[in-house]
Amino acid sequence: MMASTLITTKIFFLILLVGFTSFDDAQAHPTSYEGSVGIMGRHSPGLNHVQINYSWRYWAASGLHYFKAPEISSESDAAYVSANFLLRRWNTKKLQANLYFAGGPGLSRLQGKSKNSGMGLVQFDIEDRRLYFLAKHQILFNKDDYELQLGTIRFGIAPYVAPAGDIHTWLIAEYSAKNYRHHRGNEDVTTLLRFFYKNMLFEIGQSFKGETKFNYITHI
Amino acid sequence: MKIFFLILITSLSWASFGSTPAKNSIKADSPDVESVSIKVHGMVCDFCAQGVTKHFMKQKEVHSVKVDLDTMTINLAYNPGQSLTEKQLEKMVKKSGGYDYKGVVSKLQKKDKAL
Repeated sequence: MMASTLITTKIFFLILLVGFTSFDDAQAHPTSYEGSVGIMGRHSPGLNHVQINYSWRYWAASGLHYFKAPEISSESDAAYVSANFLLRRWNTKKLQANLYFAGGPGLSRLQGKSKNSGMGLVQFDIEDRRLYFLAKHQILFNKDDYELQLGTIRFGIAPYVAPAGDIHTWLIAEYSAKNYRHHRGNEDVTTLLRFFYKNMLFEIGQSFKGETKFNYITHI
Repeated sequence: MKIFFLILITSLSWASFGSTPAKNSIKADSPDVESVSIKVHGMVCDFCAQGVTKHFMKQKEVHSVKVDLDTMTINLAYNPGQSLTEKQLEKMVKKSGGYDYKGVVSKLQKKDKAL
C-alpha cells in the first residue's frame, strides 16, 4: 500500500516537474513573491533533490520535495510536502538577509521499506550584489530516528556586477556534509560556477571527491 | 512629387500618433506619462527584479516597470490618468518580495495643459 502510494507520488511529482519546466521560467528561496512558483533542483551522482514551491505570501509557501539517493540504492527515495516560512528578513541599503524554516510530512524509502517520514529545514542566507553566504541544515526523519541530515555552507563571489536583466556570474565554494542513519555519509567541498539570467539560475561544479554537481533554480 | 511625399509623411505621422503604443514601449521617464521613482531596500538580484516587475505589471495603473539594482530604485510609468498612492506602493513593494519601501525619489507629472 505504502509502496504504491509512493509510486503515485513520484508520478505526480514527475508530471508537475515536466509541466512546470515546459515554461521558459523557473526559483531558489523557500519562499518568494506572492503568487510565484519556484522550481529548484540539486543533482549529484549520490543524491538528488527536486523542489517546487508556491508562494501564497512573500513569507509563506507550500512545497513539494522529491529526494532520490542512488548512493544507497536505486530504490532509495523520499517525497514530502512542506510548509515554508520566511521567519525573518533583513533589508538594508546594500544587502538582504533571510532566515527560513520549512517542514512537513512525507514518505521515505531511504531505509529500505516505505515509512512515514518528516522533513525539516533551517536556512540562513545573506547577500549583496558581490558576495553571498548561505548556511543550511536539512533533516529527514521518522518516528524512531533521523534518516538523513544534510548540512551545507556556501560562499560566493561575483567577479563583476551587472545590471538587472544581464547575465550574472558567480564563483561559489560549497562545503556539504551528508549523514545517513544507516548508510555511509560523506563530507565534500565543491567549487561551482553559477550563471544567473533573469529568472533562470544554473550552477555546475566539480567536488574535491570528483563528483559533478548540477543545480538550477527558476521562478514562474 | 514633393507634395505627394509631404502628404505621405504627414499621414504617417498622424497614423503613428493615433496608434496605441505597445506595452512597455514608453520608458518610465517619458514626458508623456506620469512616472514615479521609488527607493527600495533589499533588492539584490535578478530574482528580486523579476518579482518586483511581475508584481507591479499586474496592476492596472502601471504601464511599465524598470528596476535599477545599482540605485535600488523602481521606476514606474503609469497608464494615462492613473497612479498609485504611497500606501499602495509600500504595500506592493512588500508583497513583491518583502522589500522595504523607502519613499519616492522623484515624480514626473504630466504637463498641465492650462499652463
